[in-house]
Amino acid sequence: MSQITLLSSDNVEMKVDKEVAERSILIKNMLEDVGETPDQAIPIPNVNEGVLRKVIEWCEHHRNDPPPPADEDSDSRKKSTDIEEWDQKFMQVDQEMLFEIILAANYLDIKPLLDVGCKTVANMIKGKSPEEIRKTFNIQNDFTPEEEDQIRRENEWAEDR
Amino acid sequence: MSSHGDPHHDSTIIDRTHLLHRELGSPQTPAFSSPIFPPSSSSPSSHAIPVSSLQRRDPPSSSSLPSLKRPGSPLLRKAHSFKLDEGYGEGVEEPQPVGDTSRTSKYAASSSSGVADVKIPDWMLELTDDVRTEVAYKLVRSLPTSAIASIVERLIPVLHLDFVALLPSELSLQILSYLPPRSLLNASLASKTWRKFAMEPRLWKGLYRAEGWSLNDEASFEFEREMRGEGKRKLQQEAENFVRQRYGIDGSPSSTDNLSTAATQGSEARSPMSSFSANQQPTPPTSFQTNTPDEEDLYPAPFPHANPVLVASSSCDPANVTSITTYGLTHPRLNWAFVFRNRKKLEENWRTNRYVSFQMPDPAYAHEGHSECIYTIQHSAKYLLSGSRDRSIKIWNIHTRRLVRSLTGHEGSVLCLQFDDSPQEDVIFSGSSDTNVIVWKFSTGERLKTITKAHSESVLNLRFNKKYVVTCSKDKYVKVWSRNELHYGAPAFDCAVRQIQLGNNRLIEPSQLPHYIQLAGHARPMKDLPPLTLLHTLVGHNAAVNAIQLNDEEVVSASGDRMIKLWGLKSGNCEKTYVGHNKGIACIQYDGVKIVSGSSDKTIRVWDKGSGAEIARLEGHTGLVRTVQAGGPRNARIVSGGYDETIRIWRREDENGDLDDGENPGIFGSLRDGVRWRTTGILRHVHEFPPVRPHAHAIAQAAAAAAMHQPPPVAPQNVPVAPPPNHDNPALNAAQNAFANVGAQNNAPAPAPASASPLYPLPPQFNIAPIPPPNVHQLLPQPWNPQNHGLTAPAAQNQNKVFKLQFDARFVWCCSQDMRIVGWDFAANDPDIVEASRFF
Repeated sequence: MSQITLLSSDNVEMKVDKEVAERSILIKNMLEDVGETPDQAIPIPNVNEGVLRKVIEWCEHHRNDPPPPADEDSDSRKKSTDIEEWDQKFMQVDQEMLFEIILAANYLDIKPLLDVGCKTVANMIKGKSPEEIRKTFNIQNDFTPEEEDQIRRENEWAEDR
Repeated sequence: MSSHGDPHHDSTIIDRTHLLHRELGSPQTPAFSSPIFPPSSSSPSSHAIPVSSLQRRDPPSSSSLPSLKRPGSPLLRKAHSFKLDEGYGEGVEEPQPVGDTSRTSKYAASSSSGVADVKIPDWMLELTDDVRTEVAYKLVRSLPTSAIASIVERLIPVLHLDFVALLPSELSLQILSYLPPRSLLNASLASKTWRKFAMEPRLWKGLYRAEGWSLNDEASFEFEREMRGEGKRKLQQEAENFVRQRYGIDGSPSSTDNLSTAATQGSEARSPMSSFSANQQPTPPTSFQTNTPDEEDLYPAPFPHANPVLVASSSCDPANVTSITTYGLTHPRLNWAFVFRNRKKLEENWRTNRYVSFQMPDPAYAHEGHSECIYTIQHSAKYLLSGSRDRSIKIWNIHTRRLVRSLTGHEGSVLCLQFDDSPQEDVIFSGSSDTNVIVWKFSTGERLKTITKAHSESVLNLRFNKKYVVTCSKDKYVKVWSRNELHYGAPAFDCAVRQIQLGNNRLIEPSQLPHYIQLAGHARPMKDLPPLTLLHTLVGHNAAVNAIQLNDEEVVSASGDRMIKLWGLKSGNCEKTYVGHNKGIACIQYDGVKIVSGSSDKTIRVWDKGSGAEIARLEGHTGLVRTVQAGGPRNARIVSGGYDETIRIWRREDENGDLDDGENPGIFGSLRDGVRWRTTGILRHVHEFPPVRPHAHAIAQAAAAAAMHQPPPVAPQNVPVAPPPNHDNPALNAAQNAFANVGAQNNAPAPAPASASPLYPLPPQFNIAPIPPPNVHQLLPQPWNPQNHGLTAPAAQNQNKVFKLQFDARFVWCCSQDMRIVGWDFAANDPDIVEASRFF
């Protein structure tokens, strides 16, 4: 199993199996362009060491996952926020790390990880009142009470079945 | 080293940390960190938290990955520094690592000015994370609880991050795309920025699709195309006018700050909701412009040269769910939240039997109607066709409810018809008790072709697609005809030849065959077989075949012999027989997966095509079920009509009474526990319409509708893109007036003109007046009472047996023994639903 070296934004080198690194479409395409396994470390300029380790951990666990279905967009509209157990545990991190993982997954083009990350955040919103949502994400309420009232009234249509 | 020099140590801190170190046994010199964190003297805080590292990150080396966009680290930086402002004195500019936060927070409760510049000694910052964590924890634990609480409070910005401000817009939208409507609406109340995101049309379009609702893509694309052209032009004009009024002709304000303030004040003065956009930093999130090319084409960055503040200053609420247009995040678009909401209301009307009914022809033009009962109808978006016992076919304009054309040619009752008014097809097929099938040109009414004696008895039903025409008859046969010319060698050619040999083809005698088939010595046959050549005669039923359905290469037939048969059109063989009805079957529908049938045994049954199992039985009709259609969202609606003179609306529900989503694969194999078809309403095609009278129930309903749909005290919004209410659209105005009249009797608020007036001239098919002119009798909604159904039949008995119905997202149309066609409109005069329904 050939290995490659990744270089985090804070200049830490990490050896990973090529197969694992290729969960990242970005890296996969890059390796394909280069044609052979590079001797030098591949710089990942947007991801720091801590986040990169976390991402690699995810890729290790999911190294044998089948590729996602091609026509993702059509049916995933019926969106489920179900997350498999391992991923749930994996995502039990502070918000900053969570958002860093999402950014890294987006940058590295690891769609399943991006999806899991986004679902995790969505689950933090689901079922919460506006006030609870504000608390969870430290959002400043910049509505006047009148505005808020009006929107609440506008939103009432969704209450009935 | 640390960016905050270190001129004076606070003795308290030093004392306490010394103590701590003694307890921890830690060396005072900085231990070399674990290999994971190599010491970095230049930026000691770089490994403290990822955010800091992002902040200090070098710009991406352009040599390595030049073409890739960076994730939102600049956004992270921006948001983080903003958060820090809350907890720190003004002098602290630099984002600080966690350790700093806890240190300064210790003094937050007392004199913050005096302690704001307290520094942590360098050696301490160079300890490993583990050690500093332990130090910080023990330090915190040494404090009074109130101080701890204050620290926790000050740490909120570190632990709770507003991702909408941090992440690129596309990622925030992806997160929100996983939310159900209710959660999304709650999210829209979090803040103005969140509202902009939560009301983004793409999210609501996704939710709309996820509901399984039908969607007119063409209409929505067309609308957005118009918006892009029109909206852009008008907005720019608006922006220019604004500048001209406020700053003089040149339109160059002294500073953007002033302009921003002015714009905010100006718009607030106009409408309370308008400040949504004005207060918001209106520049579209940058990442929106770094989208993939596709995305950019679909949602081009608007107003490239318009001042974004000015764009935002227009008083259109970007996220107003009551308007058909929205700014979304970037530019004017179709407001899918509006479409979603009104579709939801429409579905609710179906469930609660809120509708208005009307008839065709319009009573003022009663002479245009048929002179005898109507056996069959079919409608498209614009036209409705009816076939009558008076031997004519009439083409009606659905929106004016006036006769377009009457086709005569049959010598008996017109029992069945199908048409396609698309320019490509432009055709009508009709079948009659005269045993003939006639092909008409839809647009001209020209009679193109006649199949004389298509059957030996009445042609009871016919269906066509691009390839086949299928007819069925009282003569017990189903016949399949080719729609196109058949060339020698085509698979169907042999079928046709066989029918000629059997003498079943009335147009071509067996003796003529040599003209059509290849003879020895000839490279090609002399002739192709003409369109409407008979391909198959499907033999198997023992009684009249009352109804057929055609799906691709399959036909299902329903017969008086109580059987349903499935036929393959390639072979002409019967592939399956469905047995279960106790009496003859009158009507059938087939969608490729399941078959729905209505019978003289008064039941409707749903069959699984593959297994042949009966998966549902709908009981309630008290007479023969003559017509049935299944469809609606998630195929969970069946509408049926019959000789008990009623039309029943059925809804597939789960055990909670919610719409069954039908996506459980088991639904087709076996009826899941708790799933049932419930009659939610009964419509009556009564012989005489009751006279219009003030009807308390109807008025109350209308008032309730008004109150529900038009949250009253909203000042009519000044929608700059909207032209003044379109008085050239009599139909719509009639609708508004009618609505207002009903409302006025109850002092209900009149509909806000802004939401009722179309932004753009409505396409012709929406010139429909959803309420009849005042002199039209109106069938008032009748709450269904299971006790008296069938007992309140009109005076004249057996005058209104229902022969045929058709429904779509908004209407049910039906014909009966009466000479009039009746329609029910579930938009129920709600102008918002009417406006949105073009996208359904």
